[in-house]
Amino acid sequence: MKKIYLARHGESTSNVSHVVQGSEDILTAVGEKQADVLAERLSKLSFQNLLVSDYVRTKQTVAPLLQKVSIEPMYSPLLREARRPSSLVGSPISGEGFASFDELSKVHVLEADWHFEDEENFHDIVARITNLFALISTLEGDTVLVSHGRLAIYIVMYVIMGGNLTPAVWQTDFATFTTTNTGITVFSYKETEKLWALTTYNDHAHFAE
Amino acid sequence: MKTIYLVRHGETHANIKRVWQDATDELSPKGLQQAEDVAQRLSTLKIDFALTSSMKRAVQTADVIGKKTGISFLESPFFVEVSVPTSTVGTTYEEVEGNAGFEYVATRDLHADDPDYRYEDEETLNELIERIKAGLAYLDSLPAQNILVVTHGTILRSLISLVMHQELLVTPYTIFTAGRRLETMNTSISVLHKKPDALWSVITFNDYAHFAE
Repeated sequence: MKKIYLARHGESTSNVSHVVQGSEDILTAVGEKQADVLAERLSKLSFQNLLVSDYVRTKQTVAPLLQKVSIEPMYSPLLREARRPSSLVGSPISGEGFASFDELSKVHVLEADWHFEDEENFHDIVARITNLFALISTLEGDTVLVSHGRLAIYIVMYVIMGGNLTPAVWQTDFATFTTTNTGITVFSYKETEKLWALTTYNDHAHFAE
Repeated sequence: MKTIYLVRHGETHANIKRVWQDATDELSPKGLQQAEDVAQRLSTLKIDFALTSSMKRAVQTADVIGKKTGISFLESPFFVEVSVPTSTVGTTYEEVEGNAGFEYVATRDLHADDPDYRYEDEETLNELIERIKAGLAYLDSLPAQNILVVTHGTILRSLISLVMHQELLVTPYTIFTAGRRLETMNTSISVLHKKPDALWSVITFNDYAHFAE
């Protein structure tokens, strides 16, 4: 059965300071250690493809794995984090600026063309994930993806709801999922039904519980 | 914060034969070993209350875990498996998957919009939803903070689906869709969190890292 292993990057500086992240954040010392443990675990799997978000924190996360496996990574914008408005990068997630963006995006969530600024809206992200699965369908064998927390939840929802990921489902479901740095999520392709299924969500057994 | 560890029972004889089972099915030798393996993993957790489904395969799994960890289990009806019509027990997965005409599934699908539809003597969707809600409310009402529950595949997928949709969007469609698109392995661990006055949150689903991947 064809599999996808989706890993979140290690702890980043913004994860610690709880600010809106851009593309340039780097891993903390804890994040680097998590990346080592993740590499240990992923290197025991047999996989043929390695797709990595082209942000700094995901490139750093995959570095120890590249020492252990001889697979050429494909750095892809398809795996980037769901983009936030540029003007909010670095500002606190609990701040007023973020709150007003968040509020407005909820009001306008059904409008595919509405943007607060230069962020990706719900519709942009679903379109991107559709492209990601189109790419994966062309690959032979199993695939490791190294990506980000919110995008990972979107991908999980996309798989569970099939083609029916609506803003309403998204808005109610998002709050019920939590991601952990370097948590691993697994999807399997069910040949008989021709669909991807969620096999494991956010397995982080490689850390003490 | 409350943490719930949901563990599916070990492999049973019916799981090997890939047939629909009732309450009487028992663990295979491999299922007993899986219970040992998951017990090893659970032994590092501080569990202050444990429940098991009262069905044989869950009780057997809980017994193995109890022997290894010293955890004592209360048998409970909240998290028993979703029942299938009695006349369909023993049906193979292939008969169902490969055959859109399999009468029970085809008939049920025709009634997919009716949560009170019953084919024979199985649990209806509304009964299932009410049972899960009651089970979650019960867990919430317990003073214990770290609770272990030994349960079953279909009820687990339905519960995760219900938690995920925050009870707002639970329709036959979302439950059945999630059922097809979620997988549960024998003795996998799923974890839920709940802060006071907050909703349940899915932390981990179907983690089976205690087996070689």
